[in-house]
Amino acid sequence: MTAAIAVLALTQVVAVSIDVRPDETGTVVTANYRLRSPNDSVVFHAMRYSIAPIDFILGSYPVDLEESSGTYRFALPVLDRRIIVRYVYHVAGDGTRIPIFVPDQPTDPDSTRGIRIRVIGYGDNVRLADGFPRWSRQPDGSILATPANVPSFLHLPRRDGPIPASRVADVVVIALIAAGSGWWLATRLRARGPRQGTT
Amino acid sequence: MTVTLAVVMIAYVVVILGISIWSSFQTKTETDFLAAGRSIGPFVGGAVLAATQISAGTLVGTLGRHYLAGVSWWYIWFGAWAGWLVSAFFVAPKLRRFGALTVPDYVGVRFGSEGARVLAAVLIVVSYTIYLVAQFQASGEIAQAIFGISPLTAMLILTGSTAFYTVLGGVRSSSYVDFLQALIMVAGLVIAVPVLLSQVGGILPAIRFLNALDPRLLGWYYGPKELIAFGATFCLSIAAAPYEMTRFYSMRDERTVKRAIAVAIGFQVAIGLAVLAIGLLTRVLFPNLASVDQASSIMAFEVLPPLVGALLIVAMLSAIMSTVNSILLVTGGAVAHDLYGRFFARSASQAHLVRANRISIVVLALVPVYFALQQFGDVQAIVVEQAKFIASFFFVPVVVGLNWRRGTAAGAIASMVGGFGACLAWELTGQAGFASHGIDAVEVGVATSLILFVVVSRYTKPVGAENLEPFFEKSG
Repeated sequence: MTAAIAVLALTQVVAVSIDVRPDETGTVVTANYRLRSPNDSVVFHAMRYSIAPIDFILGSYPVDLEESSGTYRFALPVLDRRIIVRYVYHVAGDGTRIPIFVPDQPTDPDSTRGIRIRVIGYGDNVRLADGFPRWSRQPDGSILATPANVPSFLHLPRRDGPIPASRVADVVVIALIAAGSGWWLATRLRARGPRQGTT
Repeated sequence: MTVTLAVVMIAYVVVILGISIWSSFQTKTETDFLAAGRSIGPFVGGAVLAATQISAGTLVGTLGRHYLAGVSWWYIWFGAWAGWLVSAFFVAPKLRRFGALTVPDYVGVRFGSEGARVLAAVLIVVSYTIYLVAQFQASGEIAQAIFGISPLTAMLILTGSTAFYTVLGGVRSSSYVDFLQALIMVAGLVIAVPVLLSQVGGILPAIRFLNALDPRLLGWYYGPKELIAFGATFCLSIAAAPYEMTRFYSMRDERTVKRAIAVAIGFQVAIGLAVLAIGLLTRVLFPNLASVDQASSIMAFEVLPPLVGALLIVAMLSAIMSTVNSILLVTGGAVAHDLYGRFFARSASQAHLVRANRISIVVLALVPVYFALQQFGDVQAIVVEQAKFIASFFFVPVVVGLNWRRGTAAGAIASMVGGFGACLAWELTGQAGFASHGIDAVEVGVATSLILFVVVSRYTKPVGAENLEPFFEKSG
């Protein structure tokens, strides 16, 4: 356990910039990573969805992509402590879920908001609250997320479809608060009612 | 998110203030302050017991451990619940029937020894100061991850606000605030799980990803020896935890105490399952966090919808506050009631004693801030360490002492000193690693404590019948 924590703390992601462009056949992802690592290699993992397969990947270093039932994985040999690397890959499918490669090292806590993920040309009228990570609309029509850590996939917000779980959850919270307040008021009123010789 | 969080937090602070001010008007005597006038019922009592135990150790530390190590950490809950059952059958009813104000009160009367009472008070203050360090450190982690403020500022705000409502209304205000906090924790955690599952795309993709990332996450990250040691730590420390035992005193009667423990276990099952699911799902979303202790706050702030996220952040702060206030009541009581009131102000008025409790709470709240800033380990590790010490010096004098008439004052003192010393020696000499021998400090501490208690008691003068009477049926 201690060793695992130490490994997590050894190396760091300094900055990540990811551009996502939906096209007719799926989505093109361009990912730039700036890393700092004293290790011999950095391993990248991404969430693998059967509905969103990666059909090709090109990089500034050769990529030997391994697929398992749950992940995509490749290792990058480290020649220098500072690494700048770029990958471009295409994801087939409807584009609602996009695998993102996460280096096996955490984000440098000093490089606050060093991760920028932008979806270009995604259009207006999408329900931002439905997606992951947290998206915000930009003046140029793109949507942007700046999470503190690299996510293993993107869940792009949709224009239509069933009511999302996040919306339902907020409604449940409001209903619970209302019910709790009502219950409390009722017990208070009952307590103020005529007393019947309780001890 | 920021606006929603601000609104939810302001509403929460207003409610807590209201409860505290109302409670302060009900607090006239030391019994009101330290035992809420013995008025707490089973549902509020159960929620209070759950909220007291569910601390930063759970919402930050345990969630972080599930993030790091996966499912196997969940099995230690069985140790905690076993501890509750031991407490329900062998500890709580007798303590409630005795009806004291503090745990050293029990030690002093049961063993007929002021020395044993003082020793218990001192060891409680030392061990719980370590526990407070974990709570304050967690508040610093949350504040840094969410609000971007320094850990010191966060700790001072937390200390100030918690000490305020504890000082104002004592156990009465903290009981009703804890009840509210338990409800917030359960609601926030349980609602978060389906939202995270929906983001991930269902259970199957999450399971496949975790399995590919590290098969131990869904299997055995920890081996049986480690889990037994961790489970034993929680079982032994909860069975005799002074901050839980103090809460028994505030309940109406023995039956209420047993029912409250059942309610507390129900709350904990729900919270434990939700924390497990959230820890694992956060690993799927963000596989490489810099600090496992940040898993809960990052998930609340960056993944959940604003209202649920805000509720969960308030739940995390609530968990810390509810535990901090319970500990402050115990340590403050140990200093003011058991040390100051017994030895320096024997004829003090009730108002004077209540004031002494309040001053002790403020002073004892500030001490751990310094240690928390040193970051000695992750939150769960600090929680486990203090639990080991509590179990090592308190399990035997409380659980065995309440159920074996022959235990004596000398036996209790030897047991507390020996158990604490053995646990400390095992830790300091680098015996803490499980892999080499599989025997943990808590097992060494409790075994030493038990042997000393039995052996020394056998060879020393039995405790008088008047001391045993409150705890044992008269033998025919």
